[in-house]
Amino acid sequence: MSARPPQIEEVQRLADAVFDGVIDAKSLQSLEELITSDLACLQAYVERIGLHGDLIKQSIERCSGHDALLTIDRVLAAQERIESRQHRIVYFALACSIVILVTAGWLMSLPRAKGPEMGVISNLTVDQISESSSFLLGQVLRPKTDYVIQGGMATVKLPHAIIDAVGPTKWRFLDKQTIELKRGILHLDIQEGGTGFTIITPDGIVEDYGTRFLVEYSSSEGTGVSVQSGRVHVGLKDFDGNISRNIDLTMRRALRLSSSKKLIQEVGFIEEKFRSIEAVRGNIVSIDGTIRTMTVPPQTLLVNQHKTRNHVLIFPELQNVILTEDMVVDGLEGNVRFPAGTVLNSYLLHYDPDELTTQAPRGGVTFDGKIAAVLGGADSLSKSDKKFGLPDLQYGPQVSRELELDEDEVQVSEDRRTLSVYFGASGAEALDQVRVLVYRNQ
Amino acid sequence: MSSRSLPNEYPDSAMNDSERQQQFLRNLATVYGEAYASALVIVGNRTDADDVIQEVCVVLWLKFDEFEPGTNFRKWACSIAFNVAKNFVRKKRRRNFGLSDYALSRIEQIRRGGAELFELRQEVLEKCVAKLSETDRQFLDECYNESHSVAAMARSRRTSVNTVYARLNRLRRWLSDCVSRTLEKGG
Repeated sequence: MSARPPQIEEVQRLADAVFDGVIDAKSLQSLEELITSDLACLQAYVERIGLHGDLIKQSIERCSGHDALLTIDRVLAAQERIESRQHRIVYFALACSIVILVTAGWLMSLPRAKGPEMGVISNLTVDQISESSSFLLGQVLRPKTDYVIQGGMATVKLPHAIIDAVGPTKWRFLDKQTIELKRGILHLDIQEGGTGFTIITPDGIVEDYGTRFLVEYSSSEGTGVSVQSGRVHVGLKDFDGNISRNIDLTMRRALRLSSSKKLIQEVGFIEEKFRSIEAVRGNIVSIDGTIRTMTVPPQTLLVNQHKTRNHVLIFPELQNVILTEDMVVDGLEGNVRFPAGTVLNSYLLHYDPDELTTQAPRGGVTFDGKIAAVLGGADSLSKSDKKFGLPDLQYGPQVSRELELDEDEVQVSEDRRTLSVYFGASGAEALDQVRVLVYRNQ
Repeated sequence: MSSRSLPNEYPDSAMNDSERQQQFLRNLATVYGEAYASALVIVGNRTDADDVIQEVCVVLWLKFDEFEPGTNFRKWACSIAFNVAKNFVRKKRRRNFGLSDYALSRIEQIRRGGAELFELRQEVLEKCVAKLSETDRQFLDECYNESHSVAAMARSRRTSVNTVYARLNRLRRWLSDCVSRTLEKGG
């Protein structure tokens, strides 16, 4: 194999990061310097991006995903978008002109308006990759901006809805009740007051009537809608963008629609699509600080087997566990007695810092139900593993998993919905685990 | 086939709508991959390239009457793809960040100047891909097919995104080396 000068290798690495949409501003600056100062680097960059382009082209040809019909769809979809954008620009310009005439001087002294707040990022998985730079917890999302998550999952909290975007997904808010899904998967949990929330794709519209549902779209597969509970109203667009057919979809039903094929067809409901999202955050409403969820559950939590650098991992364990007999647990706040018939959801916080961990993590997690008990002792954790733990996960019997109460802090909020943690990272064995039992929200 | 008509901006054209559409689609189908690659080399990012190529298709259709039959449609389409992509990057740079105009013009020079070499690389790459195992080829197809992104693959395989990227990067590196090695040997 021919030797590669380090600079060429660096350019190829940076080109891959550009292609994958994960390059940051600093790396892009470095790439700019390399390709504008060295012809070989420039050549290497163009060749590498060309390699990706050729691989896409070959993949399209091999997978027969590209035909004339698809091309027409793409042209038409783009045409509609451009026309819509042109209309929006005209309306926006008119509105701006009027406002400027009336309050020109006053407006000049104000900062640029960014549009109203649509929602806030309330949960991120540790493997989330977004376009250009990472999403941040608490980040405010606004209208008329495309949001892209390449991998992992991000959750957006709205006043009456919780929306999970599963990477790779691209979407934008049109207003507080409407989202345009451009590709990928959105999972929606619409709460009281949120009825009428609408998702628009190139194939149709999906309007909520109080439910938990999922919409997916890709240019090759069209639009898929699955309803886990409640009811949605689905409208198929015709070629002119008008609704040509309507269907109401109720719980545990799914359909696929394609405007180009004039197709709206009921298909099998796949529960797994919802389970994979529930496995990420269960009924967690929001997280903050350095707590993170994850898309793929861990295999083992033995010491040094699942490191969590600079963050605390939280994941749902068994949900909706119905106690068949009275049970007493040894919680951090003392013994807690649960009568038979109590329904509990369980979550585990896991913190196992590696040698490169630079900060002791702190953060909070808010659940949709009240916290029933917090277990942090080695004995109480081990005893509850079988009842509440994931069946395929290796927890281990080690004592080191328990909290060191002299340096670890765990607090439950007054309304008992939020748990705040601070885990110290000193000592030879810094592994900490906490099990949180939460009453199911009725 | 769809019965929908493309928007006709040129009703007085000598060719009727249906003929124009058919000819346009035939031409577009033959150069789609090239136009995509031309856009990609400027925007770099696949997600952006997907957006740009849609706009390119619209522009090509709207300007189709300006295209002179008998001249090189591929060259014409790629040239438009370059320009649409450059405008896209400029707009994006204003909002966010991106390569400078100078860097973009240098990239375009290299791409245009080495058109034949890039075509050759493409042919060699096909041969290199053919040398991969069936499993690796399928993996590559899934990675580069829009509906099977790296993240989606990681989810379906119940593994991490990093694991998928590691395998993908190994394949990219091998393919890149294979192309260079083959060209050094004279194809």
